[in-house]
Amino acid sequence: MKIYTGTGDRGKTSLFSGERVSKSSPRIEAYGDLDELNSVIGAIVASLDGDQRPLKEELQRVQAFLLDAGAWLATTPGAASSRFLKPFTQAPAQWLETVIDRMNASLPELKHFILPGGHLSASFAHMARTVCRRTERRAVELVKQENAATEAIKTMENILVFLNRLSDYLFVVARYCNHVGGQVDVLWKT
Amino acid sequence: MENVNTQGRFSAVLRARRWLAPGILEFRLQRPTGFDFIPGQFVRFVLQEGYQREYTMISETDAETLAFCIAVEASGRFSQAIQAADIEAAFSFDGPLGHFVFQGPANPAVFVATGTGVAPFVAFFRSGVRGALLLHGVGTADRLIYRPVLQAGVQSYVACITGENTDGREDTDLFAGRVTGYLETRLAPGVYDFYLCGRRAMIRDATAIIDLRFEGSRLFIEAYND
Repeated sequence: MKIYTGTGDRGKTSLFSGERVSKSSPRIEAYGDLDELNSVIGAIVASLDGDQRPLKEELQRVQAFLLDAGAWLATTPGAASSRFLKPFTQAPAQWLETVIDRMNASLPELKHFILPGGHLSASFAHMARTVCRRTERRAVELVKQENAATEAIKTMENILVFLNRLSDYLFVVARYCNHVGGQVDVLWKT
Repeated sequence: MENVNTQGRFSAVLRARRWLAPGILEFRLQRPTGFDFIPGQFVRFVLQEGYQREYTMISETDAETLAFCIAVEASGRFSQAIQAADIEAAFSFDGPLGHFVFQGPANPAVFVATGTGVAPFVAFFRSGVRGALLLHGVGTADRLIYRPVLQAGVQSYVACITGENTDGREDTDLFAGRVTGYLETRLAPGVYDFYLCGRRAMIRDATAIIDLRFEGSRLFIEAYND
């Protein structure tokens, strides 16, 4: 099956809700960044050692949530096609809080700023964290620009909370990867 | 929120089969218990050896049988199988699948199909969608399947003929040329909801015209494999 249609060759693309928009429009920027974030998380997974199966599965669950969120970002709020989308509730953010607390409890207490880096998987996690923050900024901008229907606003709020929590999670993942990889976090020396 | 994501593997027996036009076959399967769909959705047939083929339902959503229309190709494994199958033979499929469904009357609707790409629009009309312009592109007029059904359901029906001379014909709904030619030269400027179903080349060319001539329109696409 061919994967290309050629319908985006002139700088426009279709939203899931049918509108033709510029590929540089805020909505495309937002879900494009989300896509980038998902790819970097894929790189974390690929760089993890074989014995890190639970963390791999956790990250792949995050990737699935990001696909759900991306579908909402690709749809104009209130559009009829929203009925095909999986509801995005508060549950993913609440789940992240649980895993952050659990993982953080296994790490040495942090009293200083650290430099992003260390083990390859930790470096990818820091990269994902920064892409996540950018995605969050784009999503905030998108929400500000649109007069969304009530149900859609709730969904976008849930996605914003998820993204905010996700960058915290990725920070902890970076520290965890260094910890289990035998690397000491490099402290920022002023 | 309506749940439209329920999918599964179903098995259904062949109930009937008939030729609609040279090389175009309609077949009906007994509708399996628990199988629901939205007009415009399709299923993915699975042959025993793992070969898969996707076809859109053209029947009413509450009909006892699921109807499909397919272009029969000499090298098409599924179309040869369905053509040769005994009545009561069982076929497996996954579904319902796809999001190519009517989005409501936000803008005037323009349905554009080539060949058997008219299938989802037949399903739309059979579910009560009304008031659209339908362009059906075919090589020759004998391949204008479901013409009466479509003419009854749409506000305007235009048969776009590319492979034969239409001079002297009395049909008033004929356009000599491609569906893209009609979009380029006949359709009045405006904001529409375009629904395109057919081969990728048509979809690519139609999209370029829509971007150029009908800014602000919405576009919904179902591309057939070439």
